[in-house]
Amino acid sequence: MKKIVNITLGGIVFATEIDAYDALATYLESVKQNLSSADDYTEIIADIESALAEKFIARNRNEKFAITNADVLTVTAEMGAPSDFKGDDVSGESDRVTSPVAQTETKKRLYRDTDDSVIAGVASGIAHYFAIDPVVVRIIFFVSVFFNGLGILAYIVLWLVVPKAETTAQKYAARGEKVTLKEITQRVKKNIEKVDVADLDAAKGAWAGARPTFVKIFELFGVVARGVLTIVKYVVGFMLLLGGALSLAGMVSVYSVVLLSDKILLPLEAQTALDIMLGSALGLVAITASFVMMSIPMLVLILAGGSLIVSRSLFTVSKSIALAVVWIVAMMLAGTTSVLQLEQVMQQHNLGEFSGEEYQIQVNVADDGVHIDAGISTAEEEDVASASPSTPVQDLPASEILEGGVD
Amino acid sequence: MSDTSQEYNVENTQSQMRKGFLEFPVLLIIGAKPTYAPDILKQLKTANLLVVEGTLYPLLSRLKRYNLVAYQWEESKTGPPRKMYTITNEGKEVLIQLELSWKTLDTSVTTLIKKFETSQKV
Repeated sequence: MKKIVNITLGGIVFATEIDAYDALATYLESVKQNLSSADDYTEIIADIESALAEKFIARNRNEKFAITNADVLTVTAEMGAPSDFKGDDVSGESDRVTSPVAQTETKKRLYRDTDDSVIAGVASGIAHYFAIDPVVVRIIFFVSVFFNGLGILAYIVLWLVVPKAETTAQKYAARGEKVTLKEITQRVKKNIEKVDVADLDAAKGAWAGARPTFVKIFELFGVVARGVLTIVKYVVGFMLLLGGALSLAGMVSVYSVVLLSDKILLPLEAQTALDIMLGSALGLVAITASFVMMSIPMLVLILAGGSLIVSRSLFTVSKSIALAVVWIVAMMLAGTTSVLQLEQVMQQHNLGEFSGEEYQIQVNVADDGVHIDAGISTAEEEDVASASPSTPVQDLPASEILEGGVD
Repeated sequence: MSDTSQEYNVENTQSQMRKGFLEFPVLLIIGAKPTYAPDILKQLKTANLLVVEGTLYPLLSRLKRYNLVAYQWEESKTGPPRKMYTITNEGKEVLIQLELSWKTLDTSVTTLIKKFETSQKV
């Protein structure tokens, strides 16, 4: 009984026994290393893989009948030893010194390492990420359990959030190591040995026996938690979307009512101020800028809600930058134009109502005496009320006036 | 690949000889008519010019890079798509030159061989 690995050669799927896979991977890798630097090695490798595919097909190998080590040996013997690939360069260009094969630096990423785990590999994942011993992380987790169970909570959250390193490439990314075919082959080999060791381990120890159940319970918990999170995500997303859309709609209707109706509903000052604003270019800019300024946060709400619902970010980099720039520009425009506009409105009104010091005095000389109407000319009732001595109509006998009661 | 170091050296020289001029027969095959890589291999093997198949692919890639041959992808019912190689006009010109120098070389080497063989008979 052997494990198989599914591979493609020239786009055809082949089941490959694990040792045959190792042999084939090593073969292709050393062919690559032997190709001259002047060669287009990706194309050559593709050609060689296609040729290998035809040979395996000729030997009736496919996804049902697995390629064995013997197949690989025969076929690669026909193809020739890897060293045969290098000497044919008549131009005498030097051999490739370093292999260009997939030696890109892999970015370090946080994964759970379930190969080296006590519960779910969270601690070892963190340890790999910071290149420290997993035991240290485990001790920290254990100690932090006694601080209000912080460790447990953190562990569960990380378990739910951090993905499991499933492919060999991810396992390498977890450690931030370079991925080369040779290393992957080594790793696959190591894993095979590890499985054997794990089988032995499983036979002993209570923890080993209890662990699968424990893990299953937590996996179940994880599934439920993820389900709840999904629901919460949709609800929040929908609320954001609705909130954004409604406030945008509300704002649009307020603006259109104010601008398009005959403004009767508005207080008198607002009416005059609005007339002045609509009459000048500056005012129009202020109105537009403030509209844009307020609508962008609502758009952001809508986008954020939408992102949550469709589970991918609707904020592209360019979109975000454009929104931010427009928003800042609108904010600055709205700010400066409104300040200027306010000054204009105040000047045009010439307005005592803002200073509260100008009085209007009306003196009516009539038969029965003199009527004096004195009051603040503002229509604001509060001002009128507070300026108590000036409340309308005081009837005084003419004699008193002549005595000089009021100037 | 080898049993003794002496045998290995011979084989090595032989393979170097073949590799050195392999481009010429490959161009001849493709020049005669458009051919798939496996068919080129078959013809080379029949002519006993090729020891290991793998050598052909870097060679074809190089010919392609210098624009001496071109290829089209063709579907295959049994396996992966195949490349159908054709010779280009530049390839034809190179081929004529190679043919000429091969003939000269052949004459010279044949003369030398004849000399050698005569010397052995005496």
